[in-house]
Amino acid sequence: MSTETIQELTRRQYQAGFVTAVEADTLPPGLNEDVIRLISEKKGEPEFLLEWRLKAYRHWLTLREPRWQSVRYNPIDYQAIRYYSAPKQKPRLDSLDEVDPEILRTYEKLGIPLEEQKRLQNVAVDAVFDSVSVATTFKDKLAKAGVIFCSFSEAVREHPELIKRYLGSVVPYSDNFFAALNSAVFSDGSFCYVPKGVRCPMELSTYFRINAAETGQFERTLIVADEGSHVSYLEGCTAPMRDTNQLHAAVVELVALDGATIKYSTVQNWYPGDAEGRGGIYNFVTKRGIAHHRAKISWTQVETGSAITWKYPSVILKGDDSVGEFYSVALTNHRQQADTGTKMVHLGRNSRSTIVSKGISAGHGQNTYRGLVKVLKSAEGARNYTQCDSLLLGSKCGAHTLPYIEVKNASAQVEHEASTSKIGEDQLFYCQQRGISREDAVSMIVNGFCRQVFKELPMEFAVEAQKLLGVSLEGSVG
Amino acid sequence: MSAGLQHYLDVAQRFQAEQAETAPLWLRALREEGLAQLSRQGFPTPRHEDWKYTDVAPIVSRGFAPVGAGRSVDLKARVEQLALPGPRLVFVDGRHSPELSSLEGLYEGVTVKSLRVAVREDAEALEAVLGRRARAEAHPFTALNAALLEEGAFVQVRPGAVAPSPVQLFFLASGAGAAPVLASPRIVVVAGENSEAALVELYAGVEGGASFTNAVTEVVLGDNARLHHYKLQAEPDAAFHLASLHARLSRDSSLTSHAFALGGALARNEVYSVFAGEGGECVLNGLYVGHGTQHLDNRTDLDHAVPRCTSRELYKGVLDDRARGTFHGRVLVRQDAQRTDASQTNRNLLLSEEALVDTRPQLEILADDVKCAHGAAVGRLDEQALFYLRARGIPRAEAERLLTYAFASEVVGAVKLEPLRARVEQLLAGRLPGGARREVGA
Repeated sequence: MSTETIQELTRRQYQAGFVTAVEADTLPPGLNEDVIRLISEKKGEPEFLLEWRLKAYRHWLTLREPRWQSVRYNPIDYQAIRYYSAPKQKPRLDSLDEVDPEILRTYEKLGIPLEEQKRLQNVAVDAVFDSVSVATTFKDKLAKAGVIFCSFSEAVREHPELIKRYLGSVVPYSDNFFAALNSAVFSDGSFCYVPKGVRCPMELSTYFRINAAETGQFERTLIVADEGSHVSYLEGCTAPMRDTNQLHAAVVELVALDGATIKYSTVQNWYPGDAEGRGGIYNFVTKRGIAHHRAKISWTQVETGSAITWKYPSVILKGDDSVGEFYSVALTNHRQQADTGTKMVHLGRNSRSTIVSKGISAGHGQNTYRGLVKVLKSAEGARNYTQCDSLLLGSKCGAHTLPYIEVKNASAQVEHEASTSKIGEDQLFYCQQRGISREDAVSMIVNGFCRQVFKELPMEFAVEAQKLLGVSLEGSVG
Repeated sequence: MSAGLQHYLDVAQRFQAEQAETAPLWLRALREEGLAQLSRQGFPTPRHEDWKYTDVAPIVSRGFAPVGAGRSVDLKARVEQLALPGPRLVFVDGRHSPELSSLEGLYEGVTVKSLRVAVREDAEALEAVLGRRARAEAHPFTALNAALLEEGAFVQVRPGAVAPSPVQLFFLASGAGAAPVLASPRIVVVAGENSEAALVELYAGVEGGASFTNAVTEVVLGDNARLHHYKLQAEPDAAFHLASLHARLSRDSSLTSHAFALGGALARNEVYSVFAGEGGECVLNGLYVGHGTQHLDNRTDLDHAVPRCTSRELYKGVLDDRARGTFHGRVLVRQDAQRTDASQTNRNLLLSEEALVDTRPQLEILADDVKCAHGAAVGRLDEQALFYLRARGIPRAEAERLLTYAFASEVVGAVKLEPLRARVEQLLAGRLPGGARREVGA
């Protein structure tokens, strides 16, 4: 890599790094039972939810932060975080005209024009600003199909029976350290319910934005696809540039009942910190789905942001003939670290899973694939195929592949393959010889490397992901 | 502290007190360090990442202890039955047995001594390497071995010597006596520049008493040295066996390790190999064949610390009945280890509904100009291949046997040492399904 290209690389700016001046209703930093009661009270929650939060908090107190991961970070002071921050503007809005124009402008800057959604794109958006959902579009059209798509708080008020039934059914509050913390303090998120046999008429989408300083974002997403239904859900994330690290500990739960299909796509572009590794988001997220008979859950993720990405979107293949998929592109540049992968737990007969993971490391980035494929006794005829490829751009980065394969049924067929490589001089030479510039050749090869994953993304996201990857890698190979 | 750990600490303390007067200072220091490390680390539990799939509680709780000298059991027949022709050192229950050993025909460029003799005669050469590769602070069972360090072998290959025949170290558990027996052999191999040699470690036993072998092997290869290391572990099904091989490869040297794990109720074989000079080459082959309720564990670690080294790793498992196999292999490519070429493969064949496999092939890569790949697979016999054979009149049991043998033969076939390959094939034949398993294995 030549010196200019390195300099070019370090000059690159994070483009979503501005701060919006919105008056916010924030709690002082710190966490105790009173804070939790206050959050619950502010949101007007029913008794069962407060009880659940408190149980989660008490359990969290007994847990210790995990240490087995391959990512390194300074200790987090959980008492220095503000656990609630909401843009000041109430009451709850019904139309976009009432949303604080500052916030709307924020989303516009990010390329998510909420106002234009109605006319231009066939995507329903739930926008979450700091911890609170500020706007949800296309509600009426969805309601006609019987689809419920709203903020989590609204769902708690309007559909408490669904929340009570499914909240914590996939990721119990006792699941892990960060899931317990989230369960205690989550402030909002998205909720989606697709009724029996309904094919959701449009893509659903949530945009998460961290704005206020010193806050943590703890949102919770719950998607329930009833029997035979189909839904595709997109998630995007950005945050301002700051010198300090901010914690993002979300929980996503997917429930795919018999014959249902859930496709969950993420383009994660939280602020990654600067070239020296100052600031950036700690993205410690628990994502898990449960697939019943003949159900299918498909995770697709493009992880380009965050100082640290540490998550394993998982599928519990509970039903017979259920299908789990995981497609991932993780890019680490500068001092970013990623420890990501998936867990596929096979319980049902003839359950199948596919894992395709593409890791790209540049600069001082450290990229770890960690995945578990577990075939239990009951999973007769289970099938897994795993492919992990790593691409190294530069001599100071790292790529690690740590699969765990546990097989307890002889009829299972499990395969894991991994390779690590760099872009070959001969490949570049071949392109350059045909008049393609070095830069374009690199971008072409990287895109080709990720194609298997990109083709799983919905159209709008695929374009965005390719652009994001192009920008993130600009000049990183030469 | 658990009662189990306390027992081993007591055993080691007693041993060290008895030996305090006769042992040289440096050896005492090594033993004391081992004891201190064991006491500090304790025994691992499945909560340790490195011991996630293997629980050593049955070993810890059983209170194994070394046997005193002077016990004589007639094992000549057993030794003759299993040993390969050629020079050999034989150890019974961890103690060197001169009457069963014979160094006749040993190539002049190779020196083989029991560790006890080497401590007296070659103190300087031994002190320079003993405990340097296998560090007590890195491993609780290495610490236990160090704390009880007394017996084993010291093998030196003179620079430039090319030994035509292998050196054989035969460790036998006698099965005599009621008390559970602990053997802690330590093997040290120093191969000089431009030398080539082969070493066979054979572990076997006589059915009966409980035994626990906790072996540690240290290998130091000089520039351009070649060592072929073979380990055949065919202990009784009730035995416990933990062993580790620690190797350091200098410039252009080559280590080929073949590890066969056939016996043991709980057996774990570890290989740690570090490239210390450019141009090194390391081949790690392994085959583990389990039946009954055996638990066979394999742990390998390849450290590509310098550029331009090549490693090839192939581990295969065949698990029948309720046997459990685990594989955890790590390939670490350090930041400056450019031009590394590493491949790692683990394949497992499950022959019964109750058999289990856990596998963790790991690549950790910190350099960019490398070629690294790994793969792992778990499955059962191919129905179509079975059908093909049966359609040609081969009974199902025989067909299964053929296919299983074909699966295993990739590893067995890589053994260059003809008599050893025959021995492995013979032992294996008794293990494969539909075969005379009960005759030989029992």
